[in-house]
Amino acid sequence: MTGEQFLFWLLALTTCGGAIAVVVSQNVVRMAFWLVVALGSVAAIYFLLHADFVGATQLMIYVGGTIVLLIFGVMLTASGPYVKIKTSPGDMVIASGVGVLVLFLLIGTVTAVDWKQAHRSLVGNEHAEYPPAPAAGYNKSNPSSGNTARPIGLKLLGVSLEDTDPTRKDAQNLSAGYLLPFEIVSVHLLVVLIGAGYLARAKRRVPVGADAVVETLAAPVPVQVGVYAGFWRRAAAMLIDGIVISAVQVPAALLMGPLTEPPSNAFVCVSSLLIFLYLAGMESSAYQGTIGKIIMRIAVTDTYGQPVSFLRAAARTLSRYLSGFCLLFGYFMALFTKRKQTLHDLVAGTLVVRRK
Amino acid sequence: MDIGLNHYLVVGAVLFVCGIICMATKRNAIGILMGVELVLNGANINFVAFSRYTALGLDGQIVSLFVIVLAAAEAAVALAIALNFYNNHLTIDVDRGDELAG
Repeated sequence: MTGEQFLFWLLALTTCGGAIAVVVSQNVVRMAFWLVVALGSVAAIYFLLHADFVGATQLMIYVGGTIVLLIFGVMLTASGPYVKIKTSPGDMVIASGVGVLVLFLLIGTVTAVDWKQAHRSLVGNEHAEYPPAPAAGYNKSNPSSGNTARPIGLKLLGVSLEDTDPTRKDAQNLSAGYLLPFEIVSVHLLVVLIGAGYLARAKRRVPVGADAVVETLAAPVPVQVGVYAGFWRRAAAMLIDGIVISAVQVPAALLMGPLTEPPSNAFVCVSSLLIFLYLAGMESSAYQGTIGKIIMRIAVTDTYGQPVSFLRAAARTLSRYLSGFCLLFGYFMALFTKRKQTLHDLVAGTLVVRRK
Repeated sequence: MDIGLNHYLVVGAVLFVCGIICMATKRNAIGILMGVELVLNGANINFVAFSRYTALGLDGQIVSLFVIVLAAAEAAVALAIALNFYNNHLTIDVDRGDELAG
């Protein structure tokens, strides 16, 4: 028994066994586990068939993506008695009977075809080699090494390496490009994911009496509870903070060397840390805000109007990167969110309000 | 016995039949979804096997890539529907969702 044969039988066993276990098991969590086994073995079968790119995609999309989705679904819906919804034995017997009949029909059909003859008549050569050499592409000197990513990418763009390969006359005129299906699938995926996000969105729950709590608690720095700082006032505060930070950072950089040279890694690290400590420390201090926020008469509070702890201020400061990474969209969210919160406010659970 | 096209096609057929039985018998919406995944994977094994053992070249692999992507999209939408169903009915037993029955 060669290695390929051994691998095939092993993988066929795990694939079919996993699939059968999915059918047989009644617990939805175990079904998800057996599905992982079956789909992972299918990925290995793809590798055995020299389809390395498809195998990797299978691992990433199915085992990494779809399974995570499924397990999330299991977690969100598996409560109490609904983990097990029994199939009635009668249904199972009938379905298995029909299934086995269909299986024998399929196996009979598959084995009735002489694939060698079909291949030779398709190629138009009575003595064509069967099975043909793997259609691996770019690495001609060692075709068995796979490497199908490049030809597949070119095919998606509408160029087929096989058509231009003079040693493979059989492949001519059999392939067209896949640019249009590729584009359609891309747009389809985008639309579907937006639609799925809309369908599965969480219902908004307003905690009862949250406003009443805000009214009763008194904050150390007198803030106007419920009067949220506007976008322009906050932008001005950020500008002032930027000036303050630059006033320290630029002279320090000048001490290190001329400004035309890129700063050293150590300088960048130290100054990032100092800026972080300034922002988080000032916002969690008794001032409840940075120098810019003090000048613009605004303060950072939590959602109950209380001063924030250092940890919360640190989370807010780190989340600023999140707001910045999405093309500053996180900052612009203050324009339309209900309590004028930016993305980092939402993440850290903070509010920015006017001082008295 | 050398491993040939038939062996892979039979594995694909087993996956396909398991998926069909799963879709027909499970009453759990997520179980039905898993059945669909099995069917699509059975079809995909056929595509990739034909791409290896016939003169069709890489076309089979490309179609299987499309199938994988569409299966991911389908799983996302189906799970969103299942979650919505669960929110409204507090169960995912598909036999309970019969309000539209005539």
